[in-house]
Amino acid sequence: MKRNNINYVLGAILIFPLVVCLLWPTFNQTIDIDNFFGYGKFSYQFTANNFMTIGSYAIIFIVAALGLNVQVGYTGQLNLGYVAFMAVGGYSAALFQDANRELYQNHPFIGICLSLLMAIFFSGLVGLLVCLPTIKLRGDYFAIVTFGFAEVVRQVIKNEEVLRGSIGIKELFLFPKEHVDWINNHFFSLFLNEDMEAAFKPDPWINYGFFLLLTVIVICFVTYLRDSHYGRMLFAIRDNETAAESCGISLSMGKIYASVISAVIGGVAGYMMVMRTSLAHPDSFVFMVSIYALCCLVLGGIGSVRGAVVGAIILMSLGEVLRDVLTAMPKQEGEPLIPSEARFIMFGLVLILMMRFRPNGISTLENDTLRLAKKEKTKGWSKYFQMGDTDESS
Amino acid sequence: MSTFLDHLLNGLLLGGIFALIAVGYSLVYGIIKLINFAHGEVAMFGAFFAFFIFSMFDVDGDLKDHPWIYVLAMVVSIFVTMGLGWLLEFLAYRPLRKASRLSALITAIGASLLLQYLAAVIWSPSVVSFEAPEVFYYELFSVMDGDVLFEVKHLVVFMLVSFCLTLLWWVVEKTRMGKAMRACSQDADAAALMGININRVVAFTFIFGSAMAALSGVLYGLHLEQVRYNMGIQIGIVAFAAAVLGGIGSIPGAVLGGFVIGFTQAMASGYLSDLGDFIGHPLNSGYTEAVAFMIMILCLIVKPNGLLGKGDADRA
Repeated sequence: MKRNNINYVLGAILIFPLVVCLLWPTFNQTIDIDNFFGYGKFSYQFTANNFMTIGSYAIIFIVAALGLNVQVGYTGQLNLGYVAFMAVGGYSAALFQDANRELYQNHPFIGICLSLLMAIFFSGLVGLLVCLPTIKLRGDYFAIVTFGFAEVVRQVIKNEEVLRGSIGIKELFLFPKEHVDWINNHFFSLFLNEDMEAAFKPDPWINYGFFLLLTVIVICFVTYLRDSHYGRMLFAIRDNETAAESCGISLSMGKIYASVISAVIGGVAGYMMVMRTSLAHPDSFVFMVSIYALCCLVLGGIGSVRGAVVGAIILMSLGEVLRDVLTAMPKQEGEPLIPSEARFIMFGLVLILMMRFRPNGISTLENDTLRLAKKEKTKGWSKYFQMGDTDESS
Repeated sequence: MSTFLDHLLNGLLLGGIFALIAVGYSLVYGIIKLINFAHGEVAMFGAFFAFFIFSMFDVDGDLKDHPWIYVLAMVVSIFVTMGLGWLLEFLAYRPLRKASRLSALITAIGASLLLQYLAAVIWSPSVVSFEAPEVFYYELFSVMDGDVLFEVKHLVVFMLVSFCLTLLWWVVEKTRMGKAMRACSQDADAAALMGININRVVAFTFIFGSAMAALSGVLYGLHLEQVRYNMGIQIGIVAFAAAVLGGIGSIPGAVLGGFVIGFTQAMASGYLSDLGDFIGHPLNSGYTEAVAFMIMILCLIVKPNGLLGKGDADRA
């Protein structure tokens, strides 16, 4: 494993305990304002539960953004229907579990592996199915087809009896309750003091650990893909399709790789989403979810792995905190002062302002893809193919 | 037979409303090659402006039989929405005129979200009822022993739609500005070299498209008797499907596509369950929305240039 891969792994593992430590003084602190701009009482408390919600959403959208990045950032195909892959992954795992509940209760590890395989297989299949007819579409047309496809998928899962329609599939679980309790009792009580235990005990920690493991695997995989020759193939397709094709790269194979890989990662994200809420429901796979993932990418810089991780963490924390703050606002005649939907304005602003002022993302670091291009110039196979004088100034 | 005529009439009504919005998509795409994702939201804002102005007058709730108040609300809303369309172009899209098409598309998505939830915050995040005037439902004539009613509503929508489309045809074909628009859609750089102010042409296109979208949004709101903050994306995407079906960039194509999609949706809402019986798999009315998307996807994959569009190497 290369050095920078290890950095990513360590970073991903360390960032959550670090954030817990940083935020610890704010847990269970209440902000009370008796007269909020003359409207009434404002009371907001940041609890451990909020933190876990933020953390799990951040993890899910790190995975989703990284998967979307393979298609948008690496290959240059704007996919507006990413949520379709997540829905397929989540639903196939959920349906499989619903059909084999006995197995999950008795052999949770086999069950988890099987349902993860299901999610990966079916989302990959759908990725292939979406990709094949759209190989020749470019730019905004590809975006619109994927958008329409995601809407069709949502209508299908909303209306089909086999998929439980608008009721959804309920009472899903990752590890059975006994395992969760056993881990919480025997493992976490070792190093949690009583305060923390009371705050964190009810959470299924082992599930979050499993999610974190999946996230780390995805981060490693995506980084590896970026540095491998498959990644270079995708970058070449993104930068100039005609030039890439004339160098012997098969456009259709490249796009199929990108779509299937991105769909598989999306399936994992959907699986995590379903397992976190233990509910598979059509309303959790709406167009906004694709936009969340896209926003994370745009904020961190399209094409950058680091950027996707940072963007997901920032946006998900902001979104969740804003929602809680907005619901804590004083109410007038039962209606909140500002509806909690107001937080989505932030996502719209992020997209507009980032495209206007910093199209390469907030990070002042070099874009990952640029770094790769520079490395190629000095060593590797490309030096054999330099034609004429190299134009360093551009 | 009578239900078929009923669906046909409904389809024509919806088709006219969709055509007005689809034309806006096509106009903008023809000139700056941008899918204006926020166009549906502009229509939604038009409906909300009309609702707001109407409810300002209608304090006691007894103005339902005063159609002139509705006309006033509609006209004011059209003018305000024109301003909104110009603002959108000026603030969001103009700075990105030289940027890549994908970043302009992402900005358009952002603008769509922004407008949507702005409306949710300003007015309401739930359904707002916007009752149509009673004169809307007066019967003009009926066929098939009163089974199929031709109401004032249909007459109003058909008249307004045909007036707008004629006006659009006149502007594009007969005026100096229309000539400039056609020049820009052929080759923007060459048009600029000939002394055409591209920014003015684009701003005019946005303003004109927004006016038609506002009218269409008000009509759609009155047709459903409700306005909602997310109705923009629904109607916008259906209208976009119409524009794609007709060949995006082509104005007659957008009108044709609008009527085809409206007709198909009306038919789907009527006959989808029969089709389900026929193929032996239950299809409920929830699939009505999916029909427009299916048509759009098939059209983009099979015939990307649409019914009346011209060839473009970038699409396929």
